[in-house]
Amino acid sequence: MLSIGLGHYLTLAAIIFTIGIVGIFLNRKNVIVILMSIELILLAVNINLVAFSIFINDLSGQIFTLFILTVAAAEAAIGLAIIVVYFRNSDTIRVEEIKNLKG
Amino acid sequence: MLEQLQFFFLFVVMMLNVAEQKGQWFSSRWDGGTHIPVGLLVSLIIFFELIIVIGGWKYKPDLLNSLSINISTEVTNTRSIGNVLYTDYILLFQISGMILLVAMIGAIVLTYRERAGVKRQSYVKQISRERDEGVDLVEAERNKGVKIDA
Repeated sequence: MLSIGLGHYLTLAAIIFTIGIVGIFLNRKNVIVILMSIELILLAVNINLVAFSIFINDLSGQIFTLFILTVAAAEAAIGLAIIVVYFRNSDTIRVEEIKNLKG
Repeated sequence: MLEQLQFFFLFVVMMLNVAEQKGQWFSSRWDGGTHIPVGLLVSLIIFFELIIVIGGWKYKPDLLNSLSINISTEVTNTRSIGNVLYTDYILLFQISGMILLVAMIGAIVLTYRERAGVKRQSYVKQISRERDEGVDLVEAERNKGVKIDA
């Protein structure tokens, strides 16, 4: 029977990371989907941290992951709030139509 | 809290009306979809870079000596995390709590708005009411009514 080792976890994290990047690249419709992709990238890194933490028998990776999750939650809350405000002001969150910062 | 946010994302996905946007997810008004092969190419390159790194990484030779917190096998994982988190990292723990609080307040402040047409009780307004605003002395003439709210 095949046992799940460090390489499997790292590969899973790499796949999730790539899915996040593909989401950012291909999505042209919705800002929220971009936020979700960024979340995916962050979670992939977290998987790496926990996997290495178990592998080298050191707890600090898991502690660090907890703090990362905290900051990620704060970031997601603020990001969604900003999107809500933006939608209220300009009636759209489509990526194509957000060009206020374009010079 | 993070789980709640993930659920929120799930609800967002439900609200996105995927069926209606089917077939136009990847279309673009600007470049007619040339970003798709470019994006896939970049993603493939990054993916294979990651795979190469996974296949080829090595320990620093003195890594195992430089570990800080060993995982003990006697207590559960949650307990050992708590043992460290609430003692050595208590300052960071409290700071992250403050970060969450600030984020919560920020989100509420950002999305707050006065809704028009909602009747709400205002204690300050009620308490600070003066006699002049509430009572009107009217000279009533005989055999004539008094107009109220004129």
